[in-house]
Amino acid sequence: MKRVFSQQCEELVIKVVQRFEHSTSAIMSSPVSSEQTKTKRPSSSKFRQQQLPAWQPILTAGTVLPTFFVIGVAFIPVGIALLTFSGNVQEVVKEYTQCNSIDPAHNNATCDEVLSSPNHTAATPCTCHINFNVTESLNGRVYMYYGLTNFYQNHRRYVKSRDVNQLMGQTDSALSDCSPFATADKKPIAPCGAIANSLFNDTFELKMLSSAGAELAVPLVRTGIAWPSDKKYKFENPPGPLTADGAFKNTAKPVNWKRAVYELDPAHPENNGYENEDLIVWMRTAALPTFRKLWARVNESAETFKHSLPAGEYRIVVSYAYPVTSFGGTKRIILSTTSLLGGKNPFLGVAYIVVGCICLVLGVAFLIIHVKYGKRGTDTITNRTDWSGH
Amino acid sequence: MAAGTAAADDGDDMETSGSPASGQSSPAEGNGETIEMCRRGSEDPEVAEVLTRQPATAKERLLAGARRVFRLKEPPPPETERRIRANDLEYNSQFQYANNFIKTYKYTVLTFWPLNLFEQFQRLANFYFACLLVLQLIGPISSLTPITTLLPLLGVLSVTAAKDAYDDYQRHRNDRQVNNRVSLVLRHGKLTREQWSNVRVGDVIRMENDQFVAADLLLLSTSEPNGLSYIETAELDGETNLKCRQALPATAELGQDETLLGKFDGKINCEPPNNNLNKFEGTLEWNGKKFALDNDKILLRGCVLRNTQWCYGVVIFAGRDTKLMQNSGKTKFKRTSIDRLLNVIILGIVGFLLLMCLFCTIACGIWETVTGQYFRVYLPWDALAPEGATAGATVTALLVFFSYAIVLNTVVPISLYVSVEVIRLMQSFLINWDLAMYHEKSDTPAKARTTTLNEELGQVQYIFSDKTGTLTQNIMVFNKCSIAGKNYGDFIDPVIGEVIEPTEDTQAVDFSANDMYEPSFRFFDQTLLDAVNSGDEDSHMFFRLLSLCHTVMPEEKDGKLKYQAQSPDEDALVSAARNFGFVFLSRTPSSITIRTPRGEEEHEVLCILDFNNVRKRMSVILRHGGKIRLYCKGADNIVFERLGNVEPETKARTEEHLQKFAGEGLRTLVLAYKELDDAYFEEWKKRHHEASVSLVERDEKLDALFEEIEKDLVLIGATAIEDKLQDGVPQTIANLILAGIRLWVLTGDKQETAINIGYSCQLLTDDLQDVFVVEGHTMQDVEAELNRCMDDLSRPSADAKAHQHKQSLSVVTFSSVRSAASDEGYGHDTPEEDPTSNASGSGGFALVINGHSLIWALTSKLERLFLDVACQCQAVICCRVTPLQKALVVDLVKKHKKAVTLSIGDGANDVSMIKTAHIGVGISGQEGLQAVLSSDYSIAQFRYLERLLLVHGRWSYYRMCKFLRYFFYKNFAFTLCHFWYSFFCGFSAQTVFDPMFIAVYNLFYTSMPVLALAVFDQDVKERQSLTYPKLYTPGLRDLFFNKLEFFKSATYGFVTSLVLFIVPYGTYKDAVSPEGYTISDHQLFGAVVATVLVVVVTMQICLDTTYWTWLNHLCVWGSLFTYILLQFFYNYVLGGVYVGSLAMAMSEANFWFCTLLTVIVLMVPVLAWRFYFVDLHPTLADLVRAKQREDKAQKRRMDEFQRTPSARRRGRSVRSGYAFAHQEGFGRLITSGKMMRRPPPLASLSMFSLGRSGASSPRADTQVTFCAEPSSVSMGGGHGDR
Repeated sequence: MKRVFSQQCEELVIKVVQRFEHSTSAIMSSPVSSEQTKTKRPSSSKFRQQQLPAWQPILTAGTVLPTFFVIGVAFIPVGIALLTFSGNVQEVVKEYTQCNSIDPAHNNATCDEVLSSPNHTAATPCTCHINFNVTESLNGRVYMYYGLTNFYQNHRRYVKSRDVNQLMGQTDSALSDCSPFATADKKPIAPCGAIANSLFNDTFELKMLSSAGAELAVPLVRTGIAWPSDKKYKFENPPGPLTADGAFKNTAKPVNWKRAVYELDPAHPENNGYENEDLIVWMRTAALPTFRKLWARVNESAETFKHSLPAGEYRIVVSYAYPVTSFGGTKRIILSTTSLLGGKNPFLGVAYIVVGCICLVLGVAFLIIHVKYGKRGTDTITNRTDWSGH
Repeated sequence: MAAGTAAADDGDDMETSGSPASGQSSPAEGNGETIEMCRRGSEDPEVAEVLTRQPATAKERLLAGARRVFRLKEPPPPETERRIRANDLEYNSQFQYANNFIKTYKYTVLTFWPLNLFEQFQRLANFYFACLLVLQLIGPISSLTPITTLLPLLGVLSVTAAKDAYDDYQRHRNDRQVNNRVSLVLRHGKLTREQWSNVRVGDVIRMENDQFVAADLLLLSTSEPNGLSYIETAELDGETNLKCRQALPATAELGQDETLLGKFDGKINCEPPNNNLNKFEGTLEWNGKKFALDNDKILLRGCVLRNTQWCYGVVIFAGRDTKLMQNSGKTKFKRTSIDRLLNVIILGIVGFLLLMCLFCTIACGIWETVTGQYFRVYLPWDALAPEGATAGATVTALLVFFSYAIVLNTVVPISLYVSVEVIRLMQSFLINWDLAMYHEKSDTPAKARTTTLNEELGQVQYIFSDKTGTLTQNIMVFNKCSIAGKNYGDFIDPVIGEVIEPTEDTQAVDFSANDMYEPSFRFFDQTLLDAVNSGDEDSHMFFRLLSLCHTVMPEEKDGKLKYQAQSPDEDALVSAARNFGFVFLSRTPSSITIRTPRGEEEHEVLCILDFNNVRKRMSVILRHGGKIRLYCKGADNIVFERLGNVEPETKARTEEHLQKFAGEGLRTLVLAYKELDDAYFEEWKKRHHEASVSLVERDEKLDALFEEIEKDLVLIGATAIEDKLQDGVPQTIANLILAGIRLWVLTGDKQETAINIGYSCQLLTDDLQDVFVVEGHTMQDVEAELNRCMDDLSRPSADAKAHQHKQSLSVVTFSSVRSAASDEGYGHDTPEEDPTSNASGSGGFALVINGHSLIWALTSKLERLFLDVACQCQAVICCRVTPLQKALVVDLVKKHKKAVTLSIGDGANDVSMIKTAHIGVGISGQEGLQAVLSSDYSIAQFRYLERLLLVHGRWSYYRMCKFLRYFFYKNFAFTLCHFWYSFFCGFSAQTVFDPMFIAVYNLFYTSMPVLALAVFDQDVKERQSLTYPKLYTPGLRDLFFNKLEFFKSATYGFVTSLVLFIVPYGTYKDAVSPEGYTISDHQLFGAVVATVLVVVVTMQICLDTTYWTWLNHLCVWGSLFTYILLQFFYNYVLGGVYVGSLAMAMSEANFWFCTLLTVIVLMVPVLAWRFYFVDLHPTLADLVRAKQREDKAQKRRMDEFQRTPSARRRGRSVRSGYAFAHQEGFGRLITSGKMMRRPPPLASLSMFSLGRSGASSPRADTQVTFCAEPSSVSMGGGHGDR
C-alpha cells in the first residue's frame, strides 16, 4: 500500500518535472534547431552566443570630467540652500536636569535631589521653573520637545522589550519579550515591557510672562504628536471601554507608572490606552542615546500665538518626576519651529558644500592631469602592435 | 569553524562512483590502470552516457555525504563464494543474490526530505548556519529573530534540494530506462521477454547482435563457430576494437536448442562479486564433469555484442553485483585556485568577525560598568546576569559576544557558495552553447563536464598537450615510399617541374581501374602505379608485404570490404596496398588471402611475431608456393640493424629517403623480408613451441627466438605516412603562447619527428635562440646536460634585459605597455618579472627532452633542476614518454609551481595526465572515449582550446572575480553598519536594520544585479580577446582577485558602511519632520540606512557593469523596484513592525538629500580612482574597450578583425613524424584461430571464399585448422599474455 503510494508520488513528481523541463526547454532553445534535425548544434540565439546588444559605457575624460563639474556646480548651491533652511529654523533649548524645586519645603534643593531622597513619595512630584527669554519671536508653528541624553532607548534589550501584539489590542498575547516587565501580581502588565515602563512622565506648562509679572498660559496641544501611521497601524486599544473593567480588565499597570494606561490623559478620553499619543511617541524608540521627542504643539488657534511665539519672557513649569542623573543622563526642553526640511540641522548643508567643492577640485585636478599626461584614446593601442601580436 | 573550511573539508576525499574500465581489452603497453569512465554516479555505461550529456552538475561535494550514507545502507553481502545452479530459481533464491534491478537513484519521494537534509547539513557551511540558527533561538543571546538565518538557509537548502531532486529524477529516469530494457530469458524452456530488472542470477538469457549485455554472463553458446563471440567494450573502456570471448566447447554444442538450454543445469561455483574486470575464477559442474572458468568465458554487463548473431549465457552476477557496478573509481574532486583562496579568505573573515565580537564584548563590559549598571533603573539586566556590578557586566558582556556573532555573521555570506555555483553553472551553459566551439563535421559541441572549474580556465599557465589526435588528426595517409632505393610519392608540378605540396585541387592518381579501390585514397605520384602495373618486382614485393604483414581484420559492411586495424598506421598501409592492387581479402587463423594483379594468392600463416613497443617491429612467417618467407616491417633503426647483406647503395639511398621523410615529418617504417629454409624453420618452430609452453621466463625465451629468426633480412623499402595536423593548430599555439601560456608537448614520438612537429605547429620557431636537447641515458649525463642548459639560460638573459632596456628607451610607449600588461584590473603593482616573459618576443629557448632522460630528470634529485630549466624555456617537448611519465611531468609542475595546469589529450594514454592536471580537456576524437570521460571539458578540435581559454576562461575568470569583489564589498558594507551602530547602542548587539531586511538582503535585494553581471559582463568583445591574447595575462597573475583585491574590496565595504552610517547619522540626529514629528527614531534610521545601502550597492554595480544588456537593466532596476515593493508589501500587508518608517522617511526631503549625498560621496572617489588609472595607466583591456567604442562610433566594418577559424587555416598541410603504433595487434587472436568467420557472402569476394575449403561448414573447417596448428595457437597465446 505504502509502496503504491510512493510510486504514485514519484510519477506525479516526474510528470511535474517533465512539464517543467518542457516549458524551460521551450524558453531556452530556439524551436528551429531542436525539432527538425537531431543535431547537437547549439542554438544561435544572441543570448546563448553572448551577443545580446549592449550598452558599453566606458570612463573617458569626456564623461568623467563633466560629471565632476556638474556635481560641483550643483552641490554648492544646494548646500547653501540647505544651510539657509536650517538657519531659518528657530530653536530654544533649555536643560533642566538640575533645576531647583520651587517647593519651600525642599529647601532650594534640586528636584533631582528631591526625587532621589529616601522620603520622597511618587505621589507628590517636584515642581520647578525654567525661565527664559525669547529674543526673537518664533515664527510659524512652534513645537515643544523634551530631550534626553545618555538614555539608551536603542539598547537591544530595551528595544525588544515590548509586545507588538499587545499594543495592537490583543489581550491574549504571550508577552514573552517583555520580561521582567511582563506581569505584576500575576496579571499581565498593560502595556508590558521596559519601554513602556520607562515612559517619560515629566509634564510641562508653558507660560508667557508679561512685563507686569502676569502669566499667560500658552495653549499646548498634546495630540497630533505621534506619527499618523503609528496610530493607524501599530497601536490599538483592546475592545471595550477604556476603564479598569473594560478593555484593560485583568491587567496591571507598569511598575513605574503612577496611573494606569487608560488614565494617561484625563483631559482627552479618546487619547488613552495604547492609543495615547505620548505613549506612542515614547514607544517609537530613538536611534541614538541623545534624542528629543515631541511633547506638544503650541495651539495655533489661540489668538496671541496664531503665527508665532512672540518674543518675551517665558516660564516653563516642570512637573519633575523622571529621574535621569543616576545613569548620567540629562533632560532638556526644546521649543522649535520647522522649515520645509524639518528642524535645525546644518549637517546636510555643510556636507553638500564640502562635497561640491571637492568635486570641483577633483575636476580641475583631473583636467590638468588629463591634458598634461592623459593617454589619448586608441592611437596608443594601434601603435603598439608589438605586444598584441596582430 | 568556517564555511570556508566546510567546502574544503568535504571536497577532498570525495568518492564518486563511476563506471570502470580497464586494460582488460587493451593489451596496450603497461597502461593497466583503472580508467574511470564517468565521474558521476552512473554505474551503467548507458546511464553514464546519458548523464554526461547533461551539463555536468558536479554536485559531488553535496552528494558525497549521502553517497556514503547510501552505501552504508547496503553493505556488501558477506559472500565468500557464489554458488549457482543454472535454470534453478529455487536453489538460487536461497542465497538472495542481487537481482538485475539497477538503482542509482538515492531518494524516493518519501525519503527525499530527510535524506537530502541530512546530506546538506553535512556540509560545514550549512551546519555553521544551522548552529547560528540555534544560537538565535536562545533568548538572552538572540539579537536577531531566527528568521534572518532561517530564511536564507531555507533558500540555500531548497535551491540545493531542487537541484538534487532534479539530478535524482534524471537518475530515476535512467534507471527506469535501463531496468525496462527487454531481454530474452529462458523460462521453463521457453524464451520469454523480460525486463532487465527481472533477470535473475541463474537465468539463461539470449543476447542478440548489437545488444547491450544485460548482466555478467557465463557464455554458453553462440552463433559463431567454436562458441566465439565478439564484444565491443567501448562503453566500458573506450576502446572501439573488438574483443573476443569463447564459450566452453562442451556448452557451445548446446547451440540455440531451447529445450537443451532449458534443461541445462550446470552448477557454477565462482568467486564472490568483485571489481576486477580482468579476472574471473570459477568452475562449472555439468554432466558430472568439471570445467574451469576464466575471464575468457564471461560477458560483462555494459559490453555490446558485435558480429555475433546470438548467444546464450547464464547470469552469474546481476544488478549491483556486476563487475561494472562493483567498480567505482575514486576521483579527486578538483577545486579551483579561487576556491582555495576563498576558503582562506573566509577563514580570515571569520577571524575578523571573532575579533569584532571580542572588541564588542570588551566594549560592552566597559559600557555596562560605566553606564549600563546605572541604567538598570529603566533596563534591568538579563535574568542570567548576577546582581553584582562587575559580575553582571561580565556576564552581560560574554552574552553579547554571541549576540554579535549572530549580528555580524552576515560578513560570512551564506549565499556565497550558492551564488558561485549558480554562476559557474551558467558559465558552463555558455560554454556548451557556444557555436564557435561547435564542430560541424562531427556534430560535437564543446562541453563543460565539470561545472566548477570555469574561472580556472582563465588562469592556465601551463598546457600539457598530447600530440597524436590532439595536435594531429590521427588520420594516417600513405604518403610516400622508397622502394629499392627509389623514391616515390613526390608530386611534381607539370608546369614548373618542381616538387610541390599537393593541395585539395591537385589531380590525384586514378586508381579506378582497380575494382577494390577506395575513392578516399589519394596519391600523387603516377610513377609508382606505373611501376606496379608494369610488373616491377620490387614494387610487387613491397606491396605484397604490406598486404600480408599486418594484423588487420577484414570485415564487410554494406557490401564493401572494410578493414579493422589496431592502429591507423596499419590501416593506412594495408589500404595503400589495396589501392595499388594488392588487396588483402581475408584471413583465417592459418591463411591469408590476397589478390595481386597476377591473381589470388593464399599464404599459409606459420607464425606471427607480433608487434610490441620493445620490439618495434612485427613479422609474419608465411608459406606460399612451397617457399617459407618471413616478412618484417618495423622502425627504421631496428630493421636496419637486422639487415643482412644489402647492396650498400640501396641501403644508403633508403637511409637518405628516410631522412628526408622524417624531415618532412612523416612516420616511417622499413620493410624487409627473408627466405627461410624449411628444415631450419621446423627446428625453430619446435623450439618456439617449447618456449611458448615453458613456465619460466617465457617472454625472454620467445624474444630471443624472435631475435634469432629476424635477422639477415633483405631490405625492400620504406613507407612514409603522413599524420595530418588538425585545423588551426599553429595559429592556436601561437596565440596561446602570446597569451603567456607555456605549452609543453608530451608525445611518444621520436625526437626528430617531435622537433619537426614542434616547428610545424609553431611551438618552435626560428626566432628561438636555442633549442636544448637533453638525451642522456644516465643520471650524470642528464644532470650535466641540464646544468649546461641552465648556464646558457642564465647567461643571455642578462643580455636580453639589457636589450630590453634599450628598447624601452627607444620605444616611447614601451613602458606604458609593460605596465598596461601587468596592471590589468585595478592592480597597478608591478609583479616581479620572470625572465621568460621577456623572451616571448624574440630569442627564447626551447627544451626537448627524451623519455629515457626524463626518467632521471624526474628523480627527486634532478626534478628541481629540470623544472627550473624547463620553466625558463618558452616551449618544452618531451618525446618518447609513457603515459605515466606524462602524469609525472604534470604533477611536477603542479607540485612546485603555484601554477594552474591544463592537460589536453584524446587517448587512453592521456587519461592519467588529464586527471592529474588542474584542468583536463579531452578531445572528442578518434581514440575512443576515455580521455573525454575523464576530462573536465571536452572539445572537438584542438583549435577550440584557444576560445575555451582566451574567451570563455578569461570571461569566466573576469566575471567570477568581479562577482567576488563585489560580493564581499556589499556584505561588508551591509554588516559593518551594525558595528558602527554598536558605539551608540551600548554595544548591545542591536541591529540597525529590520530583521526582515537582514534576512533577504543577499537573497532578494542585491543578488540579481550581481548575478547578471557575473553571467553577462564583458569587458571586451570576444574577438578582441582573441586578437589581443595578452588580455589573458591578468588571469595568469591572479590580478583580478587575490588577497590584496579582497582586502581592497573589504576596505571599501568598510568605508562604505561608515559613510552609510555617518551621513544618515548627521542627517537624522535630532531630526524632526516639517510637521514637527520626531524622525530620529531607530526604525526610521534603520529603514533609511537600509534603503541608502541598497541604492548605493546598486549604484556600485552600475559602475561595475561594463556591458549593459537588457537583462542587466532588468536586474538592476528591477532589484531596486523589488526592494521598494517588498518593503511595502512586507510592512503593510504582512504587518512588519517597521511599518510606516520608510514611508515617513521618503515623504520628506531630507531622505532624498541624504541618499544623494551618500551615493555621491561613495561614487565620486571610485569614479576618480578608476578614471585616474584609465586615463594615466590604461590597461590593455581599457585600450581595447576604447578602441572598440571608437570603431563602433565610426561604424567601421569590424569583420576584417574577425579571425574565423577557416580564414586562419593555411592551405598547406603540415606533417609530423612517428614510428609505429602503440599497441599490439591482433596477432594472438588471429593465430589462436578464434577470428574465424563465416565467409562473407560478398560477390566481389566470392573468388576468395571459394578458395577456402568447406566454407559451408565453417565449424568443421576451423576445427581442422585449429588442430593442425597447435604450435601457432600456443605461440600466439603465450605472446599475447604479456
